[in-house]
Formats: sequence, C-alpha cells, structure tokens
Amino acid sequence: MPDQTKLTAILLMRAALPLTKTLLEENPKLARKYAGWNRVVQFQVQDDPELACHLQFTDGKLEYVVGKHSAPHIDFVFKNAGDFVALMSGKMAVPKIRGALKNFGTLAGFLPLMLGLTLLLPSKLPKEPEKRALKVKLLLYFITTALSLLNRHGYAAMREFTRDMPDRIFQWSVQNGEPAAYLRISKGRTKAGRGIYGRRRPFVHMLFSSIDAAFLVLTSQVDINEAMRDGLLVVDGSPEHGKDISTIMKHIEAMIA
Amino acid sequence: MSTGLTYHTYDTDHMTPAEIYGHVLAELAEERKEIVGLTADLAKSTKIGKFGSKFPHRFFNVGIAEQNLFGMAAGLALAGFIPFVSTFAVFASLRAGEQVRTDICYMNLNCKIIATHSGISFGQAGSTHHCTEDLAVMRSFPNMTVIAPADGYETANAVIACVDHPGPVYIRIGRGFEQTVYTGPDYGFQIGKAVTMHEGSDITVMAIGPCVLHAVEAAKRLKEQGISVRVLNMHTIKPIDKEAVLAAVNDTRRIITVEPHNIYGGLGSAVAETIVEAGKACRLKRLGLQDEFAIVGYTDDLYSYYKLDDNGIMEAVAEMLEVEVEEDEDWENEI
Repeated sequence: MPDQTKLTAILLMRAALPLTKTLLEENPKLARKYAGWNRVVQFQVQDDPELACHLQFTDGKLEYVVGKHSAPHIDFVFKNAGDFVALMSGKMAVPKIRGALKNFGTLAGFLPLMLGLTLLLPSKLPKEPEKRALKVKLLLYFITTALSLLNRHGYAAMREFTRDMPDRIFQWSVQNGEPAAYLRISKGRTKAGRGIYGRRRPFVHMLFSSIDAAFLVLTSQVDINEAMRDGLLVVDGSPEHGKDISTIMKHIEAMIA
Repeated sequence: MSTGLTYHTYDTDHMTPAEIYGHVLAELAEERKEIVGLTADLAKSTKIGKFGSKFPHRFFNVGIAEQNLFGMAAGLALAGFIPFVSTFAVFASLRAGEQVRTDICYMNLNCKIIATHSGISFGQAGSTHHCTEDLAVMRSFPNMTVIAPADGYETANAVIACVDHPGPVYIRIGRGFEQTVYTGPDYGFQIGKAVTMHEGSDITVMAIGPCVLHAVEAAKRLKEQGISVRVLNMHTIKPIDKEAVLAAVNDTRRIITVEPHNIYGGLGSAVAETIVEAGKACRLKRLGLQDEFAIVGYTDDLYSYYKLDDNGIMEAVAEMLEVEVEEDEDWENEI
C-alpha cells in the first residue's frame, strides 16, 4: 500500500480531477469557454509514474486519461505527492508549470476549470441551490470513486471490508434518482459507477430526502445518525455495512481535509 | 375480511416488518376490542409496545417469564380474548415450547404468536439468540398455522388475516431492517396460498422470509443469462400450498428451497414431504443451515455464508442446471 500522502494524492488525481468533465457537463457557460479546444493539460508528480494524468480536450470535448502524454501543452509538475495534495486541498503549493510561457493562453483558459473544482473543498459551502446541487453530485461521484481507489490501492480498512464480500451494490442517491452514484463490490474487487445501478437491487441504499439533505450530510454539517432520525437520510438494507462504509467515507474526508 | 384499515399508508418501504406489525396491531385493536397484547419484557424490541402505548389497559408485560407469558395468553384466549403474544422466536418456540404446545395448541386456542428475531436475523447476538429450529417445532404442533412473511407488507397482511383465522397462529419475522419485496399490500395474500413472484420454467425456487427478495433478485439476474426461474413465496409453511408445490414439480422438475432455518423440519422438509406423499419425483435442493448452529456475524453476512442470499441462490441454480453464470462486469474499466 502507498503511504498516506501518496494515497491521498491518488484519490485526488483519479477521483477529483476527472470531475472537471462533470463541471463542463453541468455548466454550459463554462463549457463554451473550451469550445473547439484541442489541448492537453497534464498533472504529474516528479519521478512517480503512478501519479500522472492528463486532461485531453478534443474539439472542446474533455477526456480524463491516466498516465503521461507525450507532448502536453501545459504540464503541472509537482515536487512530491504532498505538494499535489496541498494544492488540491486549497493550500499553498507551487508546481513547476512546463509550457506556461509558450502556451500562456491555454494556462489562463484552463484555470477557471480548476477553480471550479474548488467546490469540492470542505470549506466551500455555497448558498445557491444550483451550486449546492452541483457540490452534492461532485461529492457523490468523488466518494464512490475514492472508495474504489482505496480498495485498489490496498487501503487496509477498505481491503478488509471488501475482501470476502459477495457481489453487492452500495448505492447513494437523492430522492427521485438524481444525482446518484454507486459502488459495486465482489470478492475484493470494486467498481464505482454513476447513476442508479439498474441490474439489481442495492444491498445498501443511502437515500437522501433532498439535495439540501444530501448537502448537509455529505459536508458533515449534520451527523448521519441525526440525519436518519430527522428523516434527511434513509439507509435501506444492511445497517451494519452501511455504518462500516460510512466510517471509511469519514477516513476519506479526513485524508483530504 | 375487510377491516377498513389504512396500513398501506404507512411508509412501508422504510419501516421494518416488526414496526409495521406494531402499527397494524394497534389499528386492528381499535375495531376489535377482544384483541389483547402480551410480552415478556420485549415490548420495544418486538414493537408490540406501540399497541401497549395505545391500549395500556389491554397490554400485559409479564416480565422475563416466557412460560408464564404463554400460560397467561392461554387463559385470556379461554376467556374470549384474542391474545397477540410477542417475544423473540427462540423464546417462543424453545423456552416456552411446552406451554405453546400444551396450553395453547392442545386446546386449539385462538392465540397469535408474533415471533421476532427469527432464524439468523439476530446475527451478532449469537447462537443463543438465533432461532433455526422454530419452524420444525411449530409445524409439529397440531392445530398450529405457521407463517413466515416475506416483508413488511406481508407481515401486515398476515397479522390482519390471522385475527379471523381460527386457532393458534405462529408468525415468524426477522429483527427489522429487512428490505421490502412487494410494492404494496394488494397482491392477494391468503393464508395457505403461495404467491408467484417471478415466472419461470427451468427451475423453481421456493423461499420464505427475507429469502423471497433474494430469490427474486437472483431470478432477475439469471433471466439476463437466459435462465428461467420461477420464484414462489411460500409464506405459509403450514398448511403448505400443495397445489403450488406439485405444479412446480410438474412444470420445472427442479426445486430449490431457501429458508433461514435448519434444513430439517422447515420449508424444505414440508416441500419434500408433499412431493413424496404425492408419489412424484424431482430434483430437490434445500438451502438453509445444514444441521448446524449458526456462526456469529453480521446478519447479511450470515445470509451470504449460508448461501441464502441472491448470490448463493444463483450459484445453487447454476449448479442444479449445470450451467455457468457469466461474468457481467469489466472490473478494470472504471469511470
């Protein structure tokens, strides 16, 4: 298993950065800024091939790709995993930015998208309903992918949780279905997905009564037990496994705080 | 019977069978003055406390004295009341087994037993509190009707139906937290009549309690792979629906029974007896505890361990049909 800092970097690189695509899907005004773009923006931690990814814009369409690109237009190079975590957590860290002078327009154009990701930060508690809804969606997508990544990278608590587990679906959703995300687990394997898993009933379904309810719980403004008592959250299915996975979700929260 | 009840307006999706039982009983008792409630210090856990709060003068907590509990219920039944007795299944069927047999069944008294935390549903409470023998015990008592509802809706239906069903009735439910399989109460519940939950022609899975939902889920997934599974909810174990069992033998020739109970004396045995007595033959597999005391763990993990969940049922079906269930996921291709 990688050390805690590297693991946190992996979560942020592979679960948070891909959400730039969601930001564009959800914000047409922002998406218009990238119309027709054919650019590659790369993030990497120096000398660590596991910590590299790039965002590839093709005619304005964004794809997240794991690993290095041969010729990125902008290349954010961090000295170590800690610097990358710091930047992604809203703290001070200055990476080397290769291509900044040559492709300054790309760098300047890309920054609003990165700023959009700051919505994920625990300190960001927007009042506007649309932003709250977006934050809930980003958090659900982030958490489910991060849980799967923890498993894939050997995080002990998650490995223990999944190791002997038969094929089961853990679903999170807001009443009426949107947004929703799920995690499938089967004998030590995991796979995160978005939307409602349609092929079988969830083993545990955490159903928030509204976007605001989800917002309050996912941003830890309301404790899960209080949320259940007050009808903000219903946990349908195994209460023990619901509790266990919620505990691991708390680990993620602590890692990225 | 029309009771004029509106139990379906409860938030059944989010209420446990035990909670629904508590609500339904409290409503029934509004109209039926002869209903009384009894428990042995488990009013809260078994949810009969809801009835007790509403009708304190018709509710008796006898303390931790299960034998007295059933003796007292017998006396109340002889006096013309309809006692609803609630305690954990292990106490109703084992600790007070003699009182249920001699005080209640021997006299064919109109006494209704609601046994909660049955089977392996008590998970971490351990083997002393699991109850995987109650169906065998209760089935063997003359006059006793034995019901194991699939979910909260069915629990409500069973409680309502048993009021006017003569003689003793044993209704076996779980610890709560069981998921619902029905979307409403109006599917034609009748004591002694199995419910077809999923049509199929290759094999029949007969299940009780929470295993009904698992069987339905398994059938849906197997259908995607071209395997046609009939699922029967055998909510009444005694009297068993012989017609449904023999139709399954005739139509599918292969039967799997699924029950959170020892394979001896419960649903599997009742089905096997029916088949043999009719002079029929078919392949039969009984999923349940293979004559052992249950291990201790999370309830749902025990269902999985004993292959009583959807994965276990799929595996048993595939084994009996001698087919392989295909992998349906590309695990590497994450978002």
